Amino acid sequence: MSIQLTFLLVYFAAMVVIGVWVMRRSGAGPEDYLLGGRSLGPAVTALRLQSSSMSGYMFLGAGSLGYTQGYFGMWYALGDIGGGIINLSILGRRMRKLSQILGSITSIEYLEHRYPSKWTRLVAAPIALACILFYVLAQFIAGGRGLEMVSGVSYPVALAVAVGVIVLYTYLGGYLAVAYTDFVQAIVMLLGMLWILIATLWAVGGLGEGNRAVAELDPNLLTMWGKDLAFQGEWGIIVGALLVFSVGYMGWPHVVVSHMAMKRPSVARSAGVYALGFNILFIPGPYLIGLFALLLVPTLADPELAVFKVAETILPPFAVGIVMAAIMAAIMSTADALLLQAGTIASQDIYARFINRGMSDGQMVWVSRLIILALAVIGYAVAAVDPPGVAAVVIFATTVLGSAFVPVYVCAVWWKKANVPGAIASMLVGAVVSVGWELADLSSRTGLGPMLVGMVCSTLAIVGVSLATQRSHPVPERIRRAIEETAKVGRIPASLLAGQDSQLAAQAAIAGRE
Amino acid sequence: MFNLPPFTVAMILGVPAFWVVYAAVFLYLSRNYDEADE
Repeated sequence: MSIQLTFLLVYFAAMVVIGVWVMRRSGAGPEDYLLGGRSLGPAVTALRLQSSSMSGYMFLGAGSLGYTQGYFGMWYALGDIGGGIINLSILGRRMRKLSQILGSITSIEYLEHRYPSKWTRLVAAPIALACILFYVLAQFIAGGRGLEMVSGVSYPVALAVAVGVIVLYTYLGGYLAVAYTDFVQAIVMLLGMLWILIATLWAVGGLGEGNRAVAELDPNLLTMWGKDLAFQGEWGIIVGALLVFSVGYMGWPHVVVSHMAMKRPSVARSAGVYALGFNILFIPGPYLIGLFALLLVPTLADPELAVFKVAETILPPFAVGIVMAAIMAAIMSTADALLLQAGTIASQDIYARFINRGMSDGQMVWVSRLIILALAVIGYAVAAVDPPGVAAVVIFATTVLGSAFVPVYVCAVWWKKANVPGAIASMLVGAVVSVGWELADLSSRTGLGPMLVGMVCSTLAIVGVSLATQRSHPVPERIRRAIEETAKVGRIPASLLAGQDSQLAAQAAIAGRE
Repeated sequence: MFNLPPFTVAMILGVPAFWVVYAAVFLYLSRNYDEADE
């Protein structure tokens, strides 16, 4: 067995041990399974937020962008660096408080409670589920490819092992296991990325010398305008690239659920600082490694393998094993969060809400696990038979999620006039416009990215439709009071928690205090 | 600097600097968040 594979197996085993350890500490109810009992501190919140949103894209897609477009790829990185602090500063404390007042334990249920209509959930759940399935598919492909490279086994076998490990520890302890493994994986990712970045810079003679050598190949690669200067003056595309991973991921249900799981509202402050620090250290790495791969592995047939190949070329075998573990960490930390979220949406937000309302909590957890298994099998089948490109799938799925959900999540806590018709119109317009823009390839014709167009349209929809329907569909008084209370920095009055789910530990504590 | 065009340098240093300033402003404005802790 190669030393790389040994490292990887040790790493997989360590993740399972963490999952089992956390499972023994977890309670059995839905709040424990889906929100970790709202018990997460700043470091776990921040690193879970970052690692679950970074994915195999950072090692495959980002490296590929650096390799093919040079410093143009940095537009994505520069937006991404601010993603955590934007998310936590705009949504963090308010979403934590409002979700608690409304008694919500899933990010889609939260939308239905804030915009009280079954149609809110009927529209939100399928859009989120479809995008998450696309996204998780990309993670499976990335995991399978990585494992195939390290182990030498065939792609279908490597894919089966990667999917099996991800499902196993998603099963173990629900959200808490996922959050703690994501936390550990974020640290592994950071160390692996820094190691390979430092080795890359060493191999090319430093940043300045590496840039000089790249300029000899093609000086355009050092500009922010891409190879052949194709994006010069294309500000619509550039703003879209900046938005997709900064503002965009305030609309990702599997990411914003982190706000609801924070132990205390003040966690948002320190988590924001941790997230920014992590991002500054981690995010530019794969883009730079991809760029300098042009010097180290100049004849790559598949640019998505740039980071893998650089690691294999310049690092000693044991270090390649550690870096591969970091790569698998990025992939698995996103895939488990996605699978858990998909299972939650399918079981809690669709099955338990519309099909079998009498399920017990224990049954709900088991339905969620069965659905996760079914989704993993479907994902495996698609990824094994006809795997699409990872970067394209991730950018497509995240663009649709951002376009459909950013305005409804932001307006939920910041604008009390946002009502049911406005929210439904916004989600539908955001999803339809961004998908249509992508399918019709309107970006190249108009110079405007789908993210930018999708978000502008969905924002206009929620504002326009909400204002136009204020008389026919006023926001209920109890929701208005909840939003007014959410705007205040302070403890939740017990009167606002009356009639909510007494099983929610944090609410019970507050209700008992007053 | 780093053998890069000036605009590239301005962006790769300037945008992260903007996020650091943003974070500092957020920390200042949210200094009373612990009042909401249970």
